[in-house]
Amino acid sequence: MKRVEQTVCTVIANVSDAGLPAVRAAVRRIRVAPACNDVLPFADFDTVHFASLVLAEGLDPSLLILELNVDGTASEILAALVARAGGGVDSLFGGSEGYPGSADPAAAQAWLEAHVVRPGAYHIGATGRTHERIRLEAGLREAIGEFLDKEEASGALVGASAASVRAAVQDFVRADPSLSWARSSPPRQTRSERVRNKAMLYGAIAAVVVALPVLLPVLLVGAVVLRLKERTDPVQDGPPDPDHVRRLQEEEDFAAQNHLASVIPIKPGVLRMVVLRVVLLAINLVARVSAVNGRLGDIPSIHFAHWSMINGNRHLLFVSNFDGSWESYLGDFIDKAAPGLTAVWSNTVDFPRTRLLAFEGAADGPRFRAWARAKQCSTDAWYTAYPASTMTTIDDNTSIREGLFANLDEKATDDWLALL
Amino acid sequence: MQGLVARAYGQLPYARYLLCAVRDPAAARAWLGQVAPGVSNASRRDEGCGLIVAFTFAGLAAIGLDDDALATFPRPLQEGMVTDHRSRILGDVGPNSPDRWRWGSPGQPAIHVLIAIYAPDEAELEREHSERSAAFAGALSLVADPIDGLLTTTGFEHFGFADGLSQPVIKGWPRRTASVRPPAPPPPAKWEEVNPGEVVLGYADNYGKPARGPTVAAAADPAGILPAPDWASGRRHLGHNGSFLVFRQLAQDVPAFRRFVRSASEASAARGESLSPEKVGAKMVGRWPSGASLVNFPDTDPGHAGTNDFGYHEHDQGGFRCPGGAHVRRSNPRDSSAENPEKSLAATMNHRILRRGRPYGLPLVDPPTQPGEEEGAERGLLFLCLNTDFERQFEFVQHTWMENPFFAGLCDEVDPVVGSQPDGGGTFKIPDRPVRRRLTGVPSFVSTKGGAYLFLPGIRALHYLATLKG
Repeated sequence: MKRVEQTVCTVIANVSDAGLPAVRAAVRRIRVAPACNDVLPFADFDTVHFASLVLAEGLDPSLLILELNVDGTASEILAALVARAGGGVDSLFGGSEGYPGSADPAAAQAWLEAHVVRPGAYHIGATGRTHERIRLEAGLREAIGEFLDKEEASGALVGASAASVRAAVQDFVRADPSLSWARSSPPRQTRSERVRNKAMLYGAIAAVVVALPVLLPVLLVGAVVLRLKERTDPVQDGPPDPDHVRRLQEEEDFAAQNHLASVIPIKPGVLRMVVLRVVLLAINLVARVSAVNGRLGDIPSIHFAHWSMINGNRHLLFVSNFDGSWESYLGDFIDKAAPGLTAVWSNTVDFPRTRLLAFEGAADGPRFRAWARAKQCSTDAWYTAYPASTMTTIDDNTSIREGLFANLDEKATDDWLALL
Repeated sequence: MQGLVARAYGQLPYARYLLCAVRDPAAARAWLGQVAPGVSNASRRDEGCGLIVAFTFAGLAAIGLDDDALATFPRPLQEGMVTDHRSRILGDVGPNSPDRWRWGSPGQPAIHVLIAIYAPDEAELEREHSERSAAFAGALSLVADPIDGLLTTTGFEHFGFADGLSQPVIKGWPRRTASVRPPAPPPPAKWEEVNPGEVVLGYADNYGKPARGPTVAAAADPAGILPAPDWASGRRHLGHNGSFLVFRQLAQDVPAFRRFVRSASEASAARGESLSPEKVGAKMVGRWPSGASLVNFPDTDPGHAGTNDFGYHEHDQGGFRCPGGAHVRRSNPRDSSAENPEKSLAATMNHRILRRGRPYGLPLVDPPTQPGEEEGAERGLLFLCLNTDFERQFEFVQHTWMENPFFAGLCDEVDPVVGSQPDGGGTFKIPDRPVRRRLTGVPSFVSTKGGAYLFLPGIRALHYLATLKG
């Protein structure tokens, strides 16, 4: 099992008013059956973890946003889409300016690549785990679980020691040739990746420290201007449109995960744009170093998420594939990550009242939840490759595999057995 | 504010819940005006019987509240308990689905008003009921059979466990009820205290700002009955001193529960272990029948509930005493839902509900000493709870904690006691050394028989509603 990097790949295309009906029709066909449809049958592409389509209408121009969270590079997945679902790609992007059509696969792929928007900050929960690996490891856990159920029922576990239970599990796995892959495990992240990510973060911190004498006056002036703006920026007061929320909820809570997308106008002025850019950069650097074991800050439930400044830096895009309900996700935002989220989203319109960029804002739970719902877009089509796997489950499954034949002391053996 | 906010009416063991529809709006308002002074008031103890009055969204419209005011109610109250999405997240699917309910589903007569009567004995209950019914005759009519709730003398619910032990306590209010029976010293505030606005509208909630709730235009309150909120100019606060009430009738299959714990115990005996039926049940519930926590008493029931002063993080993060998926741990994870115990507890406290329910039906007694105690009789819980934010509180508890197959890192199991289990039964992991046990084929022991979302107005708001013009 080769280790493959994952990519958050988002293709964004302008859609003309004339092209809208055809795009709407194509998106609807995907929406009904995201895994297998005649436009983009996502299940046919086994490197895809999550995918979504958002048709953001009324932005001048309307935007079609195709989110792909995949194993491998953007080029690889886009080439595969053009090669194996060229007609579907045509029906989505055919109305966009300059799209050459999949009859010329190289040109179509190049056009798509040119429309990939790099994330300003992103998070990948299952770092280094391919879709295939996630599926296999889920199967391993299930097989071990059923084996233990049988052992328990037969009485074989009565009076057994931790070491003997582990040995029995190892024997069970060894005896099954279809599980031979589980005898070793590739790293979640390579050493060079870790070193590179740390170097970038510490390098950035060092650069800031060095530049501080120059930066400080700029920061102080910036803070004063920001504080003045914060007092007068309009804020949303009141609940979101009930029909809008109803439409969103109709699509929620079918799988273990849910999807959230928003495209929000960035507040006018250079200051907000610069601040947003810097905050996203900082979050991205920190996320690369700290969020490698499934957790982003204290939030253990995010598979793939990213922010991008799009549409000529006029809008901030956020898309996330997360475990559990919207309520629990927003609850985590409020309880565990309010300052960071406030620092990002307070640069977009109607955000709840803030102080000095990162304070109050999202910590005002009821107002933040109302704002987040009001600003959320309908996800027009959404695909999850593993609808019954949470981020915690995926990480535990990997830990079970990693510990299966590893050298474990007594304490580590107990901890490993507790995962089963 | 109405007495239900402050009290569970423990000293009034007999209760009757009347589900009514408005027949004549003008007569209903006249009735409300007459009855309002006699409604239980949180600020004084009831003489004799207790009475509460609450309205569904349809009921508020029926009694004459205008569209402008109706639009200020939260969406869940407007929609009611039954929507496809809500049924999905509350576990009201399959055998629990609303089309099988006895009351409260869209196909049944609309419920407008809930009247609850609490009485010290059966005779008083009947007397009070006939008096109250006579008072609303012509104004309201019953849309379902009256539902009787009965507190057992022991304070146990039908599966045999002490109930109502862990409740949020409102910061700054006098403690009215002991958290455990027999009373133990109150636990440190951190396990219980919430801001008033988590339960009562108009006061600061856990985020430090007033819990808002419904308002009316100032012009719609010419008599100045309602207070003016400082967060909405030109409005009067209809929600002030009110709360939102969740009412669900949950049938409990006591024979199935007893059979299940007995057979799990027998299976363990056949393997040469000694897992008593009581211990199997205690692992599923997370407390012993007496109410004692498994964290404090991992091995045997001490016979009394003991203190409510315990967390999971320090001594039991792994669930070796109280399983991670146990009923009480799901319904109040305390400090165990994330790595940092303080943050974890603070987050938990944003999702508490004040429970005000009581059992219905007679306990299962073998052999029965009176009709209603036999196996085939229906019994269960009349679940009532108060909160100010349905989605952040009641629905969150039900969806993200109780019915969540992946709660706290678990893999595909729901609450073993009240969860809506898949066909063929669910699983329940009991962490142990050297390795977990796993109960399989866990059936659903609880099924939904009816439900409604209601607004429990403050006393002033009751008077206001009575003055509306048709």
